[in-house]
Amino acid sequence: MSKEYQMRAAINQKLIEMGERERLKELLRAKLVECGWKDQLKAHCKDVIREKGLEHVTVEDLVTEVTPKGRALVPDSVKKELLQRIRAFLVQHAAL
Amino acid sequence: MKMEEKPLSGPDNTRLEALIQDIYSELVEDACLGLCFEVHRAVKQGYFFLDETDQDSIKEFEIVDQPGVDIFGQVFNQWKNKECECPNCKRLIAASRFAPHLEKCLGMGRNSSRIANRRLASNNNISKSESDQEDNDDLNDNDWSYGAEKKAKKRKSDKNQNSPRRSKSLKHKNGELGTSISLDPYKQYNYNAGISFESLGPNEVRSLLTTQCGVISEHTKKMCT
Repeated sequence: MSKEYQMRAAINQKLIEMGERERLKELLRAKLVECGWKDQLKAHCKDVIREKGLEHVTVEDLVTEVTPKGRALVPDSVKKELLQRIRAFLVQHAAL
Repeated sequence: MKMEEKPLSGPDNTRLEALIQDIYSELVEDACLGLCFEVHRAVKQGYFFLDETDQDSIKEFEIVDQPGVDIFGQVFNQWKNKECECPNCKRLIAASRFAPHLEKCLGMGRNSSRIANRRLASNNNISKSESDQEDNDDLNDNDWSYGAEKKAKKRKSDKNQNSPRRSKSLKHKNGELGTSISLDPYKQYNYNAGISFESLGPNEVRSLLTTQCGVISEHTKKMCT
């Protein structure tokens, strides 16, 4: 298993070193804003906050409430495009 | 990057796919976390609900979705039929024609100066007809500015067919600057529609054909220069 782990670590390092991870992050963020995901999730946050009370909300609360919904709400097109780009990067740079 | 494990690609693609999915999930989680931090900070700093504080102005600026009206609630061609008084000529002009009218009325703007120049030029040509080509040079230079040339092309039928300026400018186009003076007497024949060689004497025909092409076009009946 550690070989697998090493390999993954090496790939991640390559992603970061080549700046691709940043680019992918920015791309994802931009697409999510464009498609309205961010606004949807913000509205959901408002509900959570009203429920828990404005004064007592913690980061953990938000994270546990918001992350699963966030993952589910990503539109298919955005997901496909990102998977495609990651695959392309790996195929090109990871000596497969 | 050398790997000692068996490669990711090939028949066993599931490992590659799993890796891709993991990278993707990390990125999505990063995005969600980013949003959470942003929201949490907004809550603690007190500006999260700022856009909901003023109910009155929310109602006032709400998006309008009715037929015949834009999203601000304004009617589209409300000002189309209004009239405005021109400060110069004191006439009542329709709103959509107001700006062009002002241009002409006040004598400013590109079109009005072009029209004025053209009028001056054609007035000068009607009064000083065939003599003194050189004197008309300065006026003729107006021909070569872009706009005037365009107008000259467009309004060919309007202009005087016999005007020497017209024949001179056409001659320039064909590159025969040197012959303008010698062909003075023939100018009025050259560009008329329906010219025929029978109307010219043999000497005239000879000198005409030794300097110009002379082929008469089937369509326009004009002579090639």
